[in-house]
Amino acid sequence: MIQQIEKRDGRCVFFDVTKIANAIYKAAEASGGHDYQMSMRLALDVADYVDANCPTSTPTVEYVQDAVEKILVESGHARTAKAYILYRNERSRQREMNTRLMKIYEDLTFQSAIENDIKRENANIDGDTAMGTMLKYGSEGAKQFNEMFLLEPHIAKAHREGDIHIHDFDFYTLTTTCTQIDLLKLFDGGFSTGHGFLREPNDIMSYSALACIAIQSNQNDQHGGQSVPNFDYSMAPGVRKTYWHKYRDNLAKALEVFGLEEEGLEAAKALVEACPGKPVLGDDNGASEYIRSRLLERTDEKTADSILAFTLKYARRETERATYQAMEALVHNLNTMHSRAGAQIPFSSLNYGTDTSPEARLVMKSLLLATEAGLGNGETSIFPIHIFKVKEGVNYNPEDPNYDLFRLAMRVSAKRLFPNFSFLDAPFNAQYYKPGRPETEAAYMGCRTRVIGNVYDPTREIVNGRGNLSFTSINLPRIALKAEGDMEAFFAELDSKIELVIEQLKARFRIQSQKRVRNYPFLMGQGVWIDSDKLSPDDKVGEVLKHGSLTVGFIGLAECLKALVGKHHGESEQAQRIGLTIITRMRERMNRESRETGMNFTVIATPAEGLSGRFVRLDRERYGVIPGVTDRDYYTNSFHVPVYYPISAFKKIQIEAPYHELTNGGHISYIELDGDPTQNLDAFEAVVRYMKECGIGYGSINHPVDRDPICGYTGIIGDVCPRCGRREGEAVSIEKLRQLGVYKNHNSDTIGYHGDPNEERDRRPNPLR
Amino acid sequence: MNQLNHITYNENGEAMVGEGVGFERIRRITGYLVGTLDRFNNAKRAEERDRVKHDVYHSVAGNADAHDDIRHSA
Repeated sequence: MIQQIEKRDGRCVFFDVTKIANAIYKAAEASGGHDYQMSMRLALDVADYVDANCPTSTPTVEYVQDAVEKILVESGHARTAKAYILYRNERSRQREMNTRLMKIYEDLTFQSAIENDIKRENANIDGDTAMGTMLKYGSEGAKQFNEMFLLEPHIAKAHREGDIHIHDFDFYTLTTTCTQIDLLKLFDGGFSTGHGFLREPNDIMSYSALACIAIQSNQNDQHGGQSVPNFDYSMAPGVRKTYWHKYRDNLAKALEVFGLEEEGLEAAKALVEACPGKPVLGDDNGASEYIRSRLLERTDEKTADSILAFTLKYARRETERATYQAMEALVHNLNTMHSRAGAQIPFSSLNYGTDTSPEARLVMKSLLLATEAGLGNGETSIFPIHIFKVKEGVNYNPEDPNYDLFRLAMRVSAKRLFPNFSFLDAPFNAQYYKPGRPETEAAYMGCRTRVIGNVYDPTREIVNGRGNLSFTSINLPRIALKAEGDMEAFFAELDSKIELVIEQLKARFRIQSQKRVRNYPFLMGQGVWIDSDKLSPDDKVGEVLKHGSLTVGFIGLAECLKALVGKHHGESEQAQRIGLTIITRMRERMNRESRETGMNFTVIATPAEGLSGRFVRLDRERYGVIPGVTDRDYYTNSFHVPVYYPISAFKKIQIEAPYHELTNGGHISYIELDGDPTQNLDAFEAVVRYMKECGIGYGSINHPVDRDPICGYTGIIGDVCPRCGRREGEAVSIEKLRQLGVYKNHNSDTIGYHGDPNEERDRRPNPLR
Repeated sequence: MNQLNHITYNENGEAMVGEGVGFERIRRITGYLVGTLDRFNNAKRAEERDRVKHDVYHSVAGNADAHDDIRHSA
């Protein structure tokens, strides 16, 4: 008689026949049986069988389970046997996942990011830090839990096997993607971060500081990027307030300097407050005239005029200086302040370009110049993403009021890769645009997300307080490979994958809907999300979330077309027609879902970071190496023409533009420019203008931005630094750096180059010989 | 020790800096700038390596006119 049984981990425990009976009973129940006596009889048969046949005195769990299957089948309990096998497979899959998770944890713990691809899944997390690793433990554990316990098995299978990819899967049960933050609404009357109350800001310095805090706080409530849809409009009141203060303070100084007052402040305050209108940067509003008349009661004309001239000159100068410093501080803050358990800086995006007020113009000019100057040592700042909104009649043509800023934006982008450019005249953006209502200007979040249309509430087709809830991408090349050139089969499979994604998005939305305001102390608690200010801390957020979007994305249109017709859309017009048909099909299905549910179902051109490698790896295992499809280590992003394909900038723009209209959940096109674009701004501008003319919604220009931290040279560096002549890793003599004027501070921690925008501008790269 | 601050001497006795210090190469990856290629995952490293430049002035036939129009309207 069996006494012991050996478990998988090698431990021996007492053999208990009722455990076998219970397992058989569960399997029988799954196929409709309820006879425990029968289960017990079968279990005893199993025990007898093992006793008689097992070669060792202590059978393993596996051996006993094999015996159960054998007895069930041989005694005619086929359905129970099938249920038992399924149960056993599921258990071993879960066990295997547990083992895999521990293996992942082991690698996270003992490997550095250079060795471990998971640690580099997201390039903005430093996987080598304590908090970065802790974040990965949480993330990997959550993914396994969500897959095992939350997803419907057929959806889990599609996700696991790479038919679809559920983005931000670690956050599946926790939160939503992103928000377009309305700073003006947030600042009105002040706000709380959950750790203390902040008063309504009173000058541009505080406006910019609080903008950063708002972005940081909201980032802790969401997994996606944080966007300010109209940064220019949001900061302008801060400049206005600063100017009033500077006007008053300099009037006070002038009153003292010109001998009218001992202590000028109270008198200046009284004078400014009595003015018929408040003076602002672009318009005195009758203030000077009024003050002059009051001064003339006490002094002569010359003195009165001098006092006013002094006041105006220094009020303007100091306001400009304060605004530049505020913007410089903002750029520094957004590159240093941490969120997400300290492992990342917030993913911040600032949209601007259309506010033509003098205050907003000063904000934009200062922000652009601070970005051009770079960080402390002249480095290119990684955040925020700048999005310059291009609009005819506002900034597109030379006669437009903000044309100078459009030009400046291009100059800065040619050096620093930002701003990107969004185009409000593209028909699908223009349809929402209402002059004088900045919240109707299309904005972009992070890398490309766009939320403006609103099926749930058509009276509020605005950007403020709204964002994406979640998105899931379809592996297009897989569908094409499966179809083996059969178009009908391709579209049938595509349709079924779209259905699957819709089902999954809805399931995730049901989980998101059950969350309460208190789960999002900033996003919902401070009224950042649209209409959340009407809810109490214990209210569920499901209804207000309906202003957000549920989105299907796609990867690898190019490889999909290669698999279908042998050419991608950059190579053949036929392929382009099919490409457009595919994406149109996705869009039409999402439109129908929107109509039927009254929710915002949209299509996004997926930004694929970890995913681009994963899909192709899985497909190569399945279908082998297929030229143009699975022969590279990545699938091409969304609808892009492949990065390796030689094509002119203009042709690429023409081909990609029609997809922008179809992808209402977000899109971007990139052009790679050769050489240093700061030396060829005409070419840069030609590309941006061509994007606009072709109906691109959002575009950006890539070019190499290299920097030598020793001499501070920023631009293109091949093997040799054009300024100091050193090769990567090589030393250069201090004397040479002195001669170049870039070696300034021998004793500081950061010797070498210290950023100075004026000096930087004047420098010319030194020839090597 | 800060590498930027690390002084070495060459065979002529000249003071040198920069030994072991690489160049920074900022690239855009799925919309975000990254300060060093080290943090790119393997697939994205491959993608970055494959990128080709898009010619602006020698566009394929048929685009030259469009291009001129654009440039001159500026």
